[in-house]
Amino acid sequence: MVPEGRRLFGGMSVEDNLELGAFCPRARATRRQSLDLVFGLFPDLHARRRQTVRALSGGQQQMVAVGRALMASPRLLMLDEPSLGIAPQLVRAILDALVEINRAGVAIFLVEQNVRAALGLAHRAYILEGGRVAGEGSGAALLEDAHVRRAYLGPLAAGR
Amino acid sequence: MTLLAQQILLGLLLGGLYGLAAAGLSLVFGVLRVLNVAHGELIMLGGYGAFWLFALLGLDPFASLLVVIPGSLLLGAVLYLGLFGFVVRAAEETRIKNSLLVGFGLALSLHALAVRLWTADDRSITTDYGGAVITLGNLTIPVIRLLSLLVALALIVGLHLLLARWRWGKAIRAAAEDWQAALLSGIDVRRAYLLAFAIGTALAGAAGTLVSVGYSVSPSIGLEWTFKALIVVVLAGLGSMLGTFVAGLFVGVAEAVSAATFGGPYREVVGLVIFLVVLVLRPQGLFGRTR
Repeated sequence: MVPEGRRLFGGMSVEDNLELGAFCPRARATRRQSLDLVFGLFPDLHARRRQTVRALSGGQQQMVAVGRALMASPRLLMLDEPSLGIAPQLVRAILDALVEINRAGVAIFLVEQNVRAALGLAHRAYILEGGRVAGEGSGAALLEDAHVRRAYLGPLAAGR
Repeated sequence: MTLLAQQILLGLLLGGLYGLAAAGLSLVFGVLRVLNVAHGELIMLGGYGAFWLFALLGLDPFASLLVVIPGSLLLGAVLYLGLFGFVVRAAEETRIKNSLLVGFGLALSLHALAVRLWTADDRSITTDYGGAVITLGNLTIPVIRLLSLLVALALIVGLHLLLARWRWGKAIRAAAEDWQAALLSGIDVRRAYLLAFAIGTALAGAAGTLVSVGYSVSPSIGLEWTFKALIVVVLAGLGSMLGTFVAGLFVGVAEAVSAATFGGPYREVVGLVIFLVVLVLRPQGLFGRTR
């Protein structure tokens, strides 16, 4: 689970935050492998593992948040708005990491307002409008959907 | 001049105990967001524990720490499970209020219990090395108080390492920063609270032991120690145990200096002045984390 706003332990080091992600006994058993996996996905974090989380940029903090969730060796990873308030190139890095995590066999449940990016990744997507499901289908299909293009991707995309 | 230096030295030695007393209060306040106003009474109990171990069994007060600390840990666990565990279930805003009620109730009960069991007399431990001093130029250093300061420092450093390195120590810090996020990460927050409260009580017990050997205990010392600890906590801010210890030394010295320059009665005033000045100028304390 990666909550909105990340909710990291800001006064503690990157390493401590990750370790705390693997606190429960089941996750603890595999924490070495999990740690290697996280540092493999986000090499930046390895270089900064002793730094206080508060000193990192928003994007790097988001990587720590995703990493902390991965440390629990989840079968389902839930993310709430991971692109919120993060530099665009880092959003890319995080989304790429999600694809990789997914390829490794972890199901991903992503809530995201960055529609183009989210639909580009999703195997299956639901559009929520005012609390109701306004559309569903594969991410690729929804990207082509006229309503979605008009409402979320702007007039240029709609007219094309 | 020598007199002032001597006073400052004694203030420093006493300040170490303030630091130790405050560390326990700070830990509980910082982690559980609960203000345990019975902290001084827990110190008092620790003092009596050491006193009776000495009076009945002839156990050296510094050796009795090995009994008092585990005993206080256990007492802390019982108090958490029986009282404060219910307080932390409340929403964070109501926790403080409820903890004040529970804490005052506990303080009054423990005070009354101590009077009934052990009378209201002042007691202190007099060991055969009790009068020993080290002379340093014009200064005399009471050996016992110096030993107490060193023990207090060792306990604080131990606590710091425990919180920095131990798995549950990290869990305690995580729960202090953001208990909901800690819960989301699979940390047993209640257990972290229990541990923090038990450790806080153990620190109080250790402080009490040192008080009974260098100074004296009576059933009524509790409030005074809660006060001193609170002043130190406000001065230091939450989140740094080493900072709390340094703040304790500072308050001890400040008291000594004001007593030496303005006369004995002003000893108590300076702490309150520090309290007010810090609250006005730097509410997060000298070493506190900002939020």
